[in-house]
Amino acid sequence: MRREIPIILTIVFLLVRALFELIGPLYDFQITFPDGTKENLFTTISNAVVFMSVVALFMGMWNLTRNHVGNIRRKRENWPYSIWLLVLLYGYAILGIIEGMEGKHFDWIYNGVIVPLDSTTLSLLAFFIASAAYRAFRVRSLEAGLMMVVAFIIMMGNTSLGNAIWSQTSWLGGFKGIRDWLMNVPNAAGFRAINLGLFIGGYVAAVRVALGLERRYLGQD
Amino acid sequence: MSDLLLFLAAEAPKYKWGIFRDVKGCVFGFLVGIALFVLTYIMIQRARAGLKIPEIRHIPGLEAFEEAVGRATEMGRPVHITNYYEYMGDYDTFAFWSYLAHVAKLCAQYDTRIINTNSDYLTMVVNEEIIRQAYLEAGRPDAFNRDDVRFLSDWQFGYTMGVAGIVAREKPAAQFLIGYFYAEALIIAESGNLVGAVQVAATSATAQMPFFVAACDYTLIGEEYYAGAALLSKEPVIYGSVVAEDLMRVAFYALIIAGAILATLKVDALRNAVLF
Repeated sequence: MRREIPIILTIVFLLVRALFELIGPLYDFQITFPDGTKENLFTTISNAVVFMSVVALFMGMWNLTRNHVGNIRRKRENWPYSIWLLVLLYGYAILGIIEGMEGKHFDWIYNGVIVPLDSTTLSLLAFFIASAAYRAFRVRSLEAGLMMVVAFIIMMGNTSLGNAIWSQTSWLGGFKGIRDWLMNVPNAAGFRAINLGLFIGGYVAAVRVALGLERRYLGQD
Repeated sequence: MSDLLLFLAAEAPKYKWGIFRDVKGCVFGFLVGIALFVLTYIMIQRARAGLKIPEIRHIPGLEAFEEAVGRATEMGRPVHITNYYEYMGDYDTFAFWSYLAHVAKLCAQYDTRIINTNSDYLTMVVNEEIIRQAYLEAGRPDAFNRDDVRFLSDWQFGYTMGVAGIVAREKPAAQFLIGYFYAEALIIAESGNLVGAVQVAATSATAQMPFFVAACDYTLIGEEYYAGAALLSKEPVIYGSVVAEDLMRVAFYALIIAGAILATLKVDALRNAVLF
């Protein structure tokens, strides 16, 4: 039963979801709460899923706490950082509970610490793109050479320098004109083919789950 | 029930065929869905009955899994696998679990440490169970370390830096990036590259595919991600579903070609049918 019940639940909820998405009367069906307010049944079910996820948040907190308390107890390498993490984790949560989401200090920490840290991490991408591109564009084969040429044109098409060298008002629309053609014709065709495959692949993956063939999520190979 | 019947009676006219939602392509989508379902079911039944099914294409990236885990074993370093943020109900997650089960099984057999980092707490619990089961099946449940299945943060860049830190400290010899990724993809892949890990990526995120191709040793792109998940099982019944997938793709391409010809001839019948 340990295996059968999750499979049955998965199939039932998959069908329920599909029916709600397709059948108009089901999608639009509203339920009335005791206080007289009405809500779409589909929205109510979706909200229940969100609520379940929020409850599960504690599992995440528990995992973090267990791991880092273990680090501190066993004095593993860099264990003081674990103390810092636990202080921040619980400190910020408690501050949020006391002050609320619009609290002055709660907001200040978010805007003054989290947002800049986020931007800093994202800015790392610029350097990583350069290092990854360097490796990818080393001309070792015909394909890599072709990719290099196309990348060069796209880059030039995106910069004002490219427009200064080969203006978009001249022959072929300059770098920008070729860039637009590359992006709108061969690139779009390739991406649509990939997306089509993704849709079919995803659907068949869902059918495998619906038919109970995909059982590896139960820890069964 | 009576509420629903009254509702149906009052609202019926605005639905397509009196029942389907008034959304573009809803009926066509439903019919395609049914056709796909039936085709998949037929192929699975054929495979189950031992009847001949068409050959399945070869996906080179799949062989890299064993090679990468083998390398980690030889070097005595761990293996890292992650799927970033995929919640429980996503079919990408189900595909990821197939890869996780495979990698965990290899790690358990070779007695190699596996680290799994997570951004979704519900998925993490299932991941833990899958890895535990793999060790149990390999006959060494004691080798499973619960602390190696880690929840980092559900905040995108908090998770990203958590993974980058773990990769820098633990120096995995193999890294598997499997699932739907966003801007963190390249940061994680480059972190793995800096410690010399063999990297295998499989993603359904079209925007991240070029980054993975540039930064990883092997990349499974597009529907290879789902097909690979099925092929790893080595079960003929699941192979059947991949055959159905390939056949359906051929049918779609035929439909696209027919649509292009008809549109050129200014015949809108097929277009209208698809959009109905």
